This record gives sequence, C-alpha cells and structure tokens, in this order.
Amino acid sequence: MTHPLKNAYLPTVLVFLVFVFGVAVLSILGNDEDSSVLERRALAQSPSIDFAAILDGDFSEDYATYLQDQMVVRDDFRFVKSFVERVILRKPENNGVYVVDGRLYDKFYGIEELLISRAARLINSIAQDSGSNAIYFSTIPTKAQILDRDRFLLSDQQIITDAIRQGVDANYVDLMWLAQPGNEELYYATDPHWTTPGALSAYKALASALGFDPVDTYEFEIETDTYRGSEYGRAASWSIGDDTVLLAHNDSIDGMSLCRFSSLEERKCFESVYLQEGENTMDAYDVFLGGLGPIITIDNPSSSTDAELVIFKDSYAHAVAPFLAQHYKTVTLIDMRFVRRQLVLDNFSLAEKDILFLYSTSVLNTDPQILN
Amino acid sequence: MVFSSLEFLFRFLPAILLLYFIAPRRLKNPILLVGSLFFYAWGEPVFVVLMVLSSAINYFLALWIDKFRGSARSGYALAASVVVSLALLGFFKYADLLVDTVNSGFGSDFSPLDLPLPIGISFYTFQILSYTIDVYKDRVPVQRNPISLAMYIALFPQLIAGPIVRYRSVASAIDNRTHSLEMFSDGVHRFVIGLAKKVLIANNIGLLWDSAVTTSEPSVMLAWLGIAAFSFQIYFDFSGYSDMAIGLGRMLGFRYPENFNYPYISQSVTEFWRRWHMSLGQWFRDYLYIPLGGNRVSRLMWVRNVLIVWFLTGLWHGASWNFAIWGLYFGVLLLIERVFLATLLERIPRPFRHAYLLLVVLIGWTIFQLGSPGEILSYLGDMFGLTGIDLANNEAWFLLRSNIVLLVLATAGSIPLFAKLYERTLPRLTVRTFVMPSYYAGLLLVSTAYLVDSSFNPFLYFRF
Repeated sequence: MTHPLKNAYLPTVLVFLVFVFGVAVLSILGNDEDSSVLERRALAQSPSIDFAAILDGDFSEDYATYLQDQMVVRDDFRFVKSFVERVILRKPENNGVYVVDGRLYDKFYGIEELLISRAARLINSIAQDSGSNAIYFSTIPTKAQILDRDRFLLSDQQIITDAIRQGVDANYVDLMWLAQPGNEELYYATDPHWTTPGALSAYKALASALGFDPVDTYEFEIETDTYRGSEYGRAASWSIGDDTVLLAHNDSIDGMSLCRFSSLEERKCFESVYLQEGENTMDAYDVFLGGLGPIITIDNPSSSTDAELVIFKDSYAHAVAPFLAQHYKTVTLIDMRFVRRQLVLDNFSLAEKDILFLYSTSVLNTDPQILN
Repeated sequence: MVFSSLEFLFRFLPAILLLYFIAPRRLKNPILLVGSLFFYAWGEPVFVVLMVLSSAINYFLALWIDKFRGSARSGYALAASVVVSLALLGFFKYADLLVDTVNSGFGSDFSPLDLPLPIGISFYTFQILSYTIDVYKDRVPVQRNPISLAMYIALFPQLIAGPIVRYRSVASAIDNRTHSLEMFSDGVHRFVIGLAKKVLIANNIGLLWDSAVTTSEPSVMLAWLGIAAFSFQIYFDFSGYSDMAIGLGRMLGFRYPENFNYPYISQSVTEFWRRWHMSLGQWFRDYLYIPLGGNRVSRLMWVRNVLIVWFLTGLWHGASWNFAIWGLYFGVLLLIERVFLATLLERIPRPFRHAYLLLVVLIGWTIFQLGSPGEILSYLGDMFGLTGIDLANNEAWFLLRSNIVLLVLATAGSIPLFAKLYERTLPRLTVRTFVMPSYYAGLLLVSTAYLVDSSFNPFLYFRF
C-alpha cells in the first residue's frame, strides 16, 4: 500500500519543474525586443557564436546579459522585485529612486567637487572668450532637493550652486527656490524634468533677470496624460500614477519654427517647437524641441527685435526655451556634450548675443563631458 | 556558470534534468560528466582542460596505488598524486603571492605571472586528494571507470563552491544510486532555500557592506553596521551555495555532507568552526591535522600542528597574507580556548559567550575581507571609535532604517528558527501539499525577479 504522504511530495516537485521548465520554454519561444521603452535603452541581442569570444569568456558574459535583457515578462519581474524591496523589505528606494507620497525622486547623493569646479572653469572660459556682455547663468535643482535630508540620504544641491556661483563671473539667476516643499507639482512625478508649469515658473524668473516682462497668457494643450518618465522605468513601482505633459500655446509660440542640426551643414527643420514625432521617440518629454541634440535653433518671426539668445544647456532647457524665445528673434541651444568648444566660438558670433548657461545640478555633478 | 544566474536556472538546469532523467541508467553518469564539463567550461573554457588533465593523472595514479599496494611504489604513486595536485594548485593560485613576497622581502623585481585563478581549483584539488589518499589508506576501493571518477571530480553541484565532498562519502552512490520523489522534493527544498539565501539576502545585504566601506562619511555605527552586514552576506552567500549544491545533489540521487550548521549561534570559536564550512574543517582534520599527529603529541608539537593547519586553512581561502593571518588568528584563539578560555567561558552567562564569539568573528571578517593591514586597522579603528569619527550620523541611521527588515530576516535566518518550524509542520499534509509548494513558488518567482533586475550578484569565491 502506498504511504499516504508519499504522493504529498508531488506538489513541490511539480511547482519546481513547472516554474523552471515553463520560464525556460517561454523565454526560448518569446520574441526578442529591440529596446525597452520603460528603461529608455536598447536591449542586448543574442550574441553571435564566435570561437575567440567563447574561449576568452566574452560569449558567456554577453549571453548572460542577453538573457537578462530578453527574459520573458521582464518588466513584470522588475515590478515584482520593486514590490518586494518597497513593500516587504520596507526600503525607501529601488534602483536608486526614492518613492515618496506617490512621487519618484532620483537619489542625489555625493558631491563631485572636481567635476563641479571643472564645469565652473569651462563656463567661465566660454563666457570670457565669447565677448558678450550679457551673460547669465543658473543652476536647476533636481526635485530630490525638495525632500527632507534628515529622512533620506541626500546631498544639499545648494553646495553645487554656491560652488558654481563662486567660480563663474556672470549674472546669476536664482532658480533653487523651485525645489522647495510644496512645489512638487513643478516636476513630473515619474521623470526628473520639470513640468510645463515648472518651466513656466523658471521662465518668469529668467525673463525678469534678462530684462523682460514675462508673458503670462497661454492656453495649455494636453499632449498626453499617460506619461511615464525615466524614473518610472527604474523604480518599476506599481503605486505610481501617470503624469500629464502639457504644451503651452499662444500666437507667438505657435508661430515659431525649429531647426535641429546634426552638423553645421546638416539640419532638419520643423514648423513647431513641439515635435510629436521627436527623434528620440522613447520619451514624451522629447516633444519639447524633439529631444537631445547638439544644436537646436528656434526662430520667432513675431519677434519685435533682432535680439538673439544662446543657451548652453542640458535637457531641462527644452521645456523653457519656447517661453524665452518669445523675447528673441532667434534662440540657439547648444549642448556642449556633443559640440566642441572651439567650433562654437568660431561659428556663433557670441559677442552680439545674450548668453545663458542653464544646467541642472545633476548634470554639473555627474557628467564629465558637460562642457568638453 | 553559477547557480544564481538565469542561464543556470532556465537553460542549463532544465536541460540537464531532462537529459538525466530520460537517459537509461548506464548513460546517467556520462551525461552528468558531459553536463558538468559544459557547466565548468561556460565560464572557464580554457581551464576545463586543466581539470580533465588533473582527473586523468590521478585516475592512473590511483590505479597504481592500488596495483602496487603494500610496496613502496604505491607510496610513490600517492606522493606523485599529492605533489602534482598541490603543484597545480600552488602554481595557479599562489605563484604570484610568492613573487610579490620575494620582491617585497628582497627588493627583487620578478614579474608576476598574472595567471587567472581557475574557478573551483581549491575545491576539486581537495576532492581529488581525498580520493587518492583514501585509496592508499585502503578506505575505499579504487575507481576503475574513468568516467565515474571524472564525474565525481567534476560534478557540477559541488564543483565551484563546495561542499568538499570526500570520495568515500559518495563512492557507492557514484555507481549505484536511487532516485525518489521524496529525495527530489527534498532537493528542491534545499535548492530553493539556498537560492533565496544567496539572491534575496546575501546580495541585498552585501550592498549595505559596500555602502559602509565606500562611504565618505564614516561613523562608528556605520562601521559596525557594515561588518555585521558582511557577516550576514558571507554566511548567506556561502551557506546558500552549499544548500543549492546539496539540493541539486539530492535531485540527482547524491547525499552530500552538510557544510554549515548555524555558525553564528556558537558560543566559542571551537564551536564556530564545527559549524562553519564543515567540509573544509573535516578535510583538514582528516588529511592534515591527524597525519601530523593531531593532539596525540607533545604540547609544543600540538601547538605547531594547530598553527600549521590554521595557517593553511586561512591561505586556502585566497592567495593573500591577510587570509593566512585570518587563519592564524582563529588558530591562536582555538589554542587559547583549549588551554584555559573554554573553562572560563563555561562559567559566564550564555549571552556573554555569544557576544564574545560574535565579536571575535566580526573582527575576523575585517581581516578576511579588507586585505591590506592599513585598511584593516583603519576599519577596526572606526569600529572602536579610535579614529575620531562621529559615533553615528545621518548615513548610518538611514542605512539602518533602510535595511532593518533585511537585518531582522537575516538574524532570524541565522538561527534555527525556520528550520525548526519546517521540521515541526512538515508532517502535516496541508503543509506539504499546499503551504510549502506555494512558498517555493514565491521564492522562485522573487529570486528570478531579483536576478532579472539586479546588477549586483557577486561571486565571492573567485579567490578560493
């Protein structure tokens, strides 16, 4: 006679075999994806079988990365991990993103003094070599500055701003007040960037400093109300709702046109500053000027002056540039991570233009190529 | 290949299980051998040759040991086995330590060989020696089937991180083993628990240790938190690997020796080493300490024997002098306990005995993990507030708050709480048919989720 407990081992064995074989079969049969929109990156593809790569172990490493990237229901697994980290292990963060009151905050910890002083020196050298006498600079705090530094492991971004102010001889425009408690809505919940209201607030401060009366008449169009930014992809948290991306319109902004330069000779032009089909279509924030690019120009035919503005910037400037362009005939945005300094000095006649250096503290603190 | 990887769980494991269980009995060992060589070659395509060569040499040497039993030639064959095995281990693992030591001691300028260490060489070398020595001592019959011997040496469950399975403990199972649903189920239990220990606890708490050693704002509290985290990391990592190995072995019909038995509940160093990496301790006891004379010699010789064994035990863990010092540190503590401390410890309340053990083990881990004397002294200085740093700071409190659940789980997992619960409730049919399978499914799901979304999955035994 069979012992009554003998078959009781079967469920354990079945659970194990079904899981291991099931995931194996599904992951073999599943189609490989080119990229992950959630994570804003290309996914590893199946490595080609190469004898030398097999011998030196590269093949096995590449295959491990490929399997990790192409695992069946990969995003669901990532959400499960995030759930365990946040809900069961009670950790305040997942993959370096804090989850606080339904909003996500990139962990900002560690001050890179060398990078910051280097950035200040380079900003100063461009400012001096430009010959312009209308030079402004500002630092944009990331939203982590809003959080209580006694509760979370965070650095004070004011230190970065102070260091840049000390090192740069130009007119400083304060934007640090943006990231204070109560101003959460000035940033997306799921993305590091500022929202259109956030960019508008910054624009008002910048325009006043540049000597203009800020324009205050806009209509807002909802570009999308299902925006999930880059922090969403990393935090992979079920408890976070979607963001709404607003586009500001008025006659002046609607009349603007945009050119994106891949080199001084090659450019693509558009009849709007908002590009629904941006070049980097993974992120809805790319609707502003079409996403990152080395040189972008905005032409404002309704401008009453011939004044021109050059902005040295990172991606935060894209949402604020259309507002600033209302006061200029042309605004040129230069991303020094993609353009050589000498090329800019030789080709952009900076002496006759207003110049604004507009960088987020996170780029000043982490990107060694900010001003190459 | 390591167990805690997607390629093992969802490629290698299903393939080998399928092939193994559908194969007729006579093909099971060849399949395990080929599978194990593939498993090894996946990360070490070149060094698989070394392992095969070593197996082949020792296969013939064991045959000679047996053939010339009783004559001097048998002894020569054993000596050849020991010399060849240790020479390979010494060359690949310790050559550069020797070069560096000579260079720094004599001011010479010999170039280091910069040889990569073949993974698992320390484990399989000790297994090979257990075989040839036991054949010489006539404790086990010689293995005439080269496939069976090669399979014993290369068998993937215990190949790269132990336990060190002595030949005699699996000799009969190599050629004649049974499989059952109960044994497979038991194997699943051990494997899944081991996987979760490694992926969910060890990897996770290892991040806390990383934060403690890379911090720009050290504090006494963070130093203690860090070394406690490392103690948990190495325990859950290593015992997790052993659990996975034991579990995989059971699925395939082998019973491997236990390797860990809740070492952190020990009340003395002597007890700790009976519970920590037991298969290594037993190997050194049987194949070095006892042959040296053990404690049946003069007191001076006994001290010498203990110190030799612990010097080599330390050095086995890595080709760096800090490991030797770590071994000697425990050797000296064991001697002190044996001479007088054990009697003293018995007279003090149990909590103090635990505190003593944990303190010496934590200090031991700083020596083990930090490498250079400067780093070790600096970290110990931080722990004991001798470096003028703050007692506690924001970072320490934050890391404590962030890891508190993990630390509680790790503490609970370091005592036999869950095991007792398991043993007590397992006879219940509902537990066995419903609760435990659901628990395993949950652990498998979450462990896989962590493997999919994790960039931190270290292999701690690359120096062993």
